Amino acid sequence: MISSCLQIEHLNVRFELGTGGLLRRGAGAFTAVNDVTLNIHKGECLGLIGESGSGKSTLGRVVVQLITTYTGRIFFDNVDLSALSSRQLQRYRPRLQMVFQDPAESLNPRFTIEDIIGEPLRLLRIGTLEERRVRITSMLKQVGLTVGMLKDRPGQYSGGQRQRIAIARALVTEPELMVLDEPTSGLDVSMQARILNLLHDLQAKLGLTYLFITHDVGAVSYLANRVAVLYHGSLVELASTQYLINNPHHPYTVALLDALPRFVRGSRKSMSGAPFTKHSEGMTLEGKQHLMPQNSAGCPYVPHCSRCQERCLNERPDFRMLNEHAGVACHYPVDSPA
Amino acid sequence: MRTVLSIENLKVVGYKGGRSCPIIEGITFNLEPGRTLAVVGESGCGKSITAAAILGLLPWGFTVSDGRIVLDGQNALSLPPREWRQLRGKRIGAVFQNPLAALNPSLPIWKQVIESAQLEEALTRKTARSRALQLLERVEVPHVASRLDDYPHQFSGGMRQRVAIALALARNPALLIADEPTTALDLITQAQILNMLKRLQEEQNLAILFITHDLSLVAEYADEVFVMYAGQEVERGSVSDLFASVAHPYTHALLRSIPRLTGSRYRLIDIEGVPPSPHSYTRGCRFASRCPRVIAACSATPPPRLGNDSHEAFCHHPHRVLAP
Repeated sequence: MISSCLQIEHLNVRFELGTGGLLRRGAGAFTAVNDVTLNIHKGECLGLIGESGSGKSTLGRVVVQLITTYTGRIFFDNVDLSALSSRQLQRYRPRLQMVFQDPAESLNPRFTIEDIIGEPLRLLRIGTLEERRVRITSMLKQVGLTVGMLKDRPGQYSGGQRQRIAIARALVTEPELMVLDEPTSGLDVSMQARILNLLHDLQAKLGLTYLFITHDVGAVSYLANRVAVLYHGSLVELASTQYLINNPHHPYTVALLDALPRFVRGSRKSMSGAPFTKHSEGMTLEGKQHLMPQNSAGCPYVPHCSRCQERCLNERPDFRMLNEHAGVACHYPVDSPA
Repeated sequence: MRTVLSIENLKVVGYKGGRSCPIIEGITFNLEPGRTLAVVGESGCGKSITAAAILGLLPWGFTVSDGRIVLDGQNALSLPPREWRQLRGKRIGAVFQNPLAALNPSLPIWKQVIESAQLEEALTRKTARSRALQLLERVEVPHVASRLDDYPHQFSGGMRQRVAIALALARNPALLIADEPTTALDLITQAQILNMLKRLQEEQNLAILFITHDLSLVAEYADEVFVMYAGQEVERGSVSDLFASVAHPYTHALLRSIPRLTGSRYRLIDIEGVPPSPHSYTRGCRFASRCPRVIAACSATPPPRLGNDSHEAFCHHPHRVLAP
């Protein structure tokens, strides 16, 4: 029996457009995450993929409770986080940590590396000064940095090393779940490989659970056990990684895999049989975004879908399990031979 | 075949505090019409500096100290600066990683796209607008007619990059320099933009100098590869030859650091350390300190040239023996 680390039930996140002022009220709202139900298993790495603007970072921020204006329920350790006050949440924060995309922006340039890694301990009042120092140095070693760096500032180091500092900061509170928000996307390929290897080793050594947010399908296939595909805030497919790569069922997942360079895709054949751009008669993904109003009743993928039919325009498909490996939110999923 | 651009033994030096140090040391390549040459390497290897030297955009304190940059049969370094600037403006277009920095936030896009064409001829407002419309249609900006008066901030990242490409191609250049044009974009947008560039290349017989760190894109979109490390060439060849038999350990490591969709569990190669700084360049192979195949000769003498004109590498101990 697989035990779950975190359960997300019917999560909705809406951002009101037009802040402040009586007159601007009612300018409308943007739905960033739309009724997502998801289960993160203990000790797994769940990959979360989707294009920019699909709501994947928002979802990650909700998981670590950086965004608290959501509806729906989030269970962590059998406690509903959505029902807790911010003071009560404080108890859970050490156990939920996050690594951000751009280490140049997420590390305070005026802090020393010791201050940066020690900050969560200071804020959450964990340990005495001496204990904190011991933890900070052991974290530095964990992520492959040296103790000599403690008094330096992040500006003195390269992007890859800064990302290691950010990882050490997230690890220092001994979290159970780490949300990794595009931890490698600003880096060179060789540096990406190093960070991915490090994350893989840390997970094996410390028994961590990851929510790995990225648009890089190659990186997901390297690190993740299961993959969730998000499209315009909706969960469109969820499957174990190997199954998803070989048998994508949602037309959007097919498009994502086909957009990979052949070198990364390997022997996997392009399923649409044509380069992605010609996929839906010359219209680009971005181009078709105008075609569907955001809150329409139909499937959000309709403007780009080559398989869409009458039913898709009027009825939003519910997420359902197709078999033991995969679930999909599509009326007419692609049936690829197993 | 006629070449659009040929770089011959190009050297760039940087000056700091009265001392000079070598940044680019003697690189040579040719680019023909309708072909794509990819310059590949980690950050700090000199790929962007090479592009900047061609564009005359070297940062303060850097100069071309030797070699030739030949565009359309004319050597840039022997032309008067004014003539070189005019030739460059007409024959080279450039696209960079961050389109927001390339676009003026306070001008509607149609004015920006047409700005460089107006240097050549005075256009009436009406023809300028219709020319801008055509240019933006060519880069597949959807619903162009209704978006001509929009400002850059109203476009998504991918659309901005398309606008930047339209701008670069406004004067029908023979050469497009694309410096990491899709690094900031997501996967599908990246594929769309690169496929579009490929189409434009075929339509206009455009030569593209494609600068990237991602060899998986090179395999898909380029004809030739030029791998740089620490300001020098380490391996060069046609895409088919080079990918079939990678010789240099650096190229090999770059390739094996890319996660792929294989069925089995494998470990990515990560190259320890970072490229050396120009101050610490040595006589021997500069990759020696990070190389998994290092032998005694590597740090003592400069690596020999192996292979032939269609695939060459500079290495003492290559993965594969290249036929001379």
